[in-house]
Amino acid sequence: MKKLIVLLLVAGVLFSCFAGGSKEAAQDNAVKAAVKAAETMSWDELLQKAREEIGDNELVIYGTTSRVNEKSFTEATGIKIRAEQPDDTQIYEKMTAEVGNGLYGADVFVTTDSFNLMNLAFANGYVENYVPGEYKDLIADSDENPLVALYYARLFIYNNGKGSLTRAITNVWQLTEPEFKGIEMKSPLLEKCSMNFLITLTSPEWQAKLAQAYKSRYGKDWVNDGTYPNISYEWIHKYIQNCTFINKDSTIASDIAKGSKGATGFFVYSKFRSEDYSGMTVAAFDGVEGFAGMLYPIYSVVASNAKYPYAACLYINYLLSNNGFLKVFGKDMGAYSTNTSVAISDGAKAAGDREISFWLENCVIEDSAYIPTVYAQAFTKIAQWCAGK
Amino acid sequence: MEKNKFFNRVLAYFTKPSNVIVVAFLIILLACIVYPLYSVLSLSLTVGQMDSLMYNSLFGLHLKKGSFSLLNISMLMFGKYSAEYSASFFWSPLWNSIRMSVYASAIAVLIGGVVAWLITRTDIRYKKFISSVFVFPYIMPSWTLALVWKNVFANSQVGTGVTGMLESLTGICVPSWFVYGIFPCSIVMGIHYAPFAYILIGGILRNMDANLEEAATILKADRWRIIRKVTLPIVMPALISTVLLVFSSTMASYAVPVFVGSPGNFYVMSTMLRALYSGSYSGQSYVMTLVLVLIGIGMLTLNQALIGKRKSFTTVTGKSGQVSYVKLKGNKLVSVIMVVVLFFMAIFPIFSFALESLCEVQGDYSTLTLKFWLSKEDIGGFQVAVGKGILLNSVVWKAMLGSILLSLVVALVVGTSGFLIGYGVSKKRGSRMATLLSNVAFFPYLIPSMAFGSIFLAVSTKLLFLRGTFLLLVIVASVKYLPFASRSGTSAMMQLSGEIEEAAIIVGAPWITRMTKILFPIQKSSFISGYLLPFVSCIRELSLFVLLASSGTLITTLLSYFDERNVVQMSNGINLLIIMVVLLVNFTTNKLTGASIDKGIGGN
Repeated sequence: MKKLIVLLLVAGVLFSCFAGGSKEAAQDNAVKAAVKAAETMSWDELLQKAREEIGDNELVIYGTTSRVNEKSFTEATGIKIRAEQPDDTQIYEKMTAEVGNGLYGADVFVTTDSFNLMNLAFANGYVENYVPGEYKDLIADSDENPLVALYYARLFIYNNGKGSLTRAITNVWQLTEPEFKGIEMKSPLLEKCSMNFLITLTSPEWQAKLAQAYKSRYGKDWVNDGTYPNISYEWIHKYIQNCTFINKDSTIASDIAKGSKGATGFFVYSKFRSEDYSGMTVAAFDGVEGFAGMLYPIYSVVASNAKYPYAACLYINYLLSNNGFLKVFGKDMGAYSTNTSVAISDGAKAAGDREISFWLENCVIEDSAYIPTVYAQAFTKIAQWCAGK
Repeated sequence: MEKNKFFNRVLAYFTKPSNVIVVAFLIILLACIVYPLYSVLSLSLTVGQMDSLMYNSLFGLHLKKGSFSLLNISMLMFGKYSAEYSASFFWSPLWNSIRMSVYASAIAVLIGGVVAWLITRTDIRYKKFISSVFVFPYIMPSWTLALVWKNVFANSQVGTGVTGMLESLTGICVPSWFVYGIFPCSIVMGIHYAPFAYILIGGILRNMDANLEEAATILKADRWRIIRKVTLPIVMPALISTVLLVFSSTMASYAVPVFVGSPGNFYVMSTMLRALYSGSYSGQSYVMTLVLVLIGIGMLTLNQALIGKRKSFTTVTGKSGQVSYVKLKGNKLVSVIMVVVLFFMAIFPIFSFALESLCEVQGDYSTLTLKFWLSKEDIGGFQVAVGKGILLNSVVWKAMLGSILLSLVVALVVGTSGFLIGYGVSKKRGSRMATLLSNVAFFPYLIPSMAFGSIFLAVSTKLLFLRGTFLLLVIVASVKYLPFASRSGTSAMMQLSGEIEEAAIIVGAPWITRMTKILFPIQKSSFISGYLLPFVSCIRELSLFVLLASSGTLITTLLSYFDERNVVQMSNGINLLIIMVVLLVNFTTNKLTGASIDKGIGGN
């Protein structure tokens, strides 16, 4: 036994020697310069530059959404792509392992979770922000740094019993009541944008909106009796108590579509159409006091050690263009470009979707500026509630 | 002079093949395992970048990334943040994991053991069918069984009220705990691993010297007494190996608990491990990994204590006689019940995959089409590009071939290593080196796949020649699956009487001949399963490779791609394809070697 311990210790020391001393993040000035130059280029200039740079090679994209695999970019530019779809935790892990060690892995990251993006990716210089010059005036300032390519909607949707149930949710406090026990959603423990949604709710702005909704639901002001730090936490706690955690959005969509009258779920709107949606109602269209769902940002940034920075910028530029958005993300409902000149597709409109302005008014938007200020406390408290259900 | 003596002694030591094997494998394994273990230990005692942000903010500290801290442990286990936090994230999931694993092991051993006994020791009918079909649940990814469970038992009284198959056929609504929670988790895991018990225990029973049982019969021992006093003790090493493997696998399993556990608020260590890992408390997730490893060490020690007490498990002496089958009372009834149960456990899920892959509209069985298999055009109507039908889709085939190649190489490496380790350990039985080797070979099994993949991702950024290569996947998978083969190799070798090899030595057969012409053929079925089990595990593995392989290189990454994107026809079809490939490999092996995954325990 002693020999074993000595052996393990020696091996451990040896390994620590060669495993230690991790390199500082590789700051590639060439990439920085290229990204800066690309900001002022037109599409055609950038296309030419990108083609020269990449030739017959592949542009590598790590994306949390499968849409990045869409081949239309290649059709439009002649540039080949290879897209990989790790989930957001894996994207940040690969990013740290690769860019952090000065190793090339990908050129573009298309990802969610503002907290890790700011505190890990940007803080360590793993990524560069690029905003196409031609769209700069069309994108809201708050969506530019880091660049939000688009928003996805995750909404409260219920089974309307083949049309026999209407206006089931009129106030967001209803979702904390016993009648709504069993709301299906993805666990905030396992999905960061759901967690970030709940954390955003704790901001003063949302406290005020929740207080207003509380008053109109119960006819009295919310009084802090010390149980919760503020009104948002009460809503969050009671809401979590009412939730059932399901591991996939598509399962939730199917459970609601095939379930009994009044069954309610919180899932990405884009899954709506993969089910028989005549039996489901999007609560937002009934009008819900408080909020009717959340919008979460899909960020798109350039790897700071990208091999093909111009092609990377071209790809991001493409995502923000009308054509690019409609082909890659906008075929169906539930996705909204941050480029204000890009409208949702006719197909989405025909299925009942509305423009982003409607959703901005009715949804909670992941607040990348507010979240870091309370993250540790809010995350830990909410996570504890989720785990202790 | 002294020096010479020492040299001679070393030389003499290494002239014995078993010594060479033990030493060589010890060195290789320590190299492959020490680093992951060291990583887990050091990561659980230091704070990562995001950990430091969290701790500094929560506790008003100024920790830097990489600094030593016990906070991971104290917050996770000892209520540093709140007692409720530690209870929710650690103690209650720990208790749940242990309960689930105990139940699953018991179910697996009970079902697998009983079936193994029925097939090898009784005259039950339909042996061939039962034997070959019984291994299906192991071939299928465990979550697909959980899906079937949900589809059958969901009902209008549970959750959103989706009507499952049982309710629509009989009107029976099972209670909520039956659909979600520890009950379905344990049953599904138990069924998934029952083939394991069947293979390991059945292999031993089949080769067991029937004279022992006959002697007991002559002494007028009743059937139950014979099972208790003769059969059970003989299969004990296999039984314990099974429990060890099933217990550890269940402890580390993620997909099933998240599928049918979480909706019933049933959380286990692996779900919390992943939650902590993705939720900025990665240090705590490594503490959890460490606890899983420690529990595994506890199990190993227990195993050692149990087997160590008995000096010999020799059952194969080369003198075996005829096996006489027990006449089963109510044979027909038992046989039919077996077939019906098997239908639901093994055939029905496959049938449902096939059916789902044929539906134009998901779940609508009136819209059957072959296009998801045979379409020459790109299939439209989905939010993502699907490509051609499965059989004509070059992406699917490329990934399938990649998976097959990887699994074959891994199976060869692992199976051969397992055979050799088994030989080395059994020859050096009782020596410290052998015990160490046998234990070290088991370690990788105790580290959850996700953590294992993540550690090897870190290794690959240091050893650049490995990065993104096929070789890296082979190494990771070989180390990870070695326990299967080393366990089955060791228990098979332990059964072999030393006389057999000694006889060969006396007639002057060289080592290689003794191995290939005598030892391997005798316990062929056990050793072949040492090749086939890693093959099966490898071909349907996802979480181990997800960080190491680029998407599209392996069939499981493609399967999960379609599954995530709700193209269920494709994901079900690919699932079916994987099962078919495994069956084909099994069939070919069977034709070539006479052995098969179920080892033709009674069938052939």
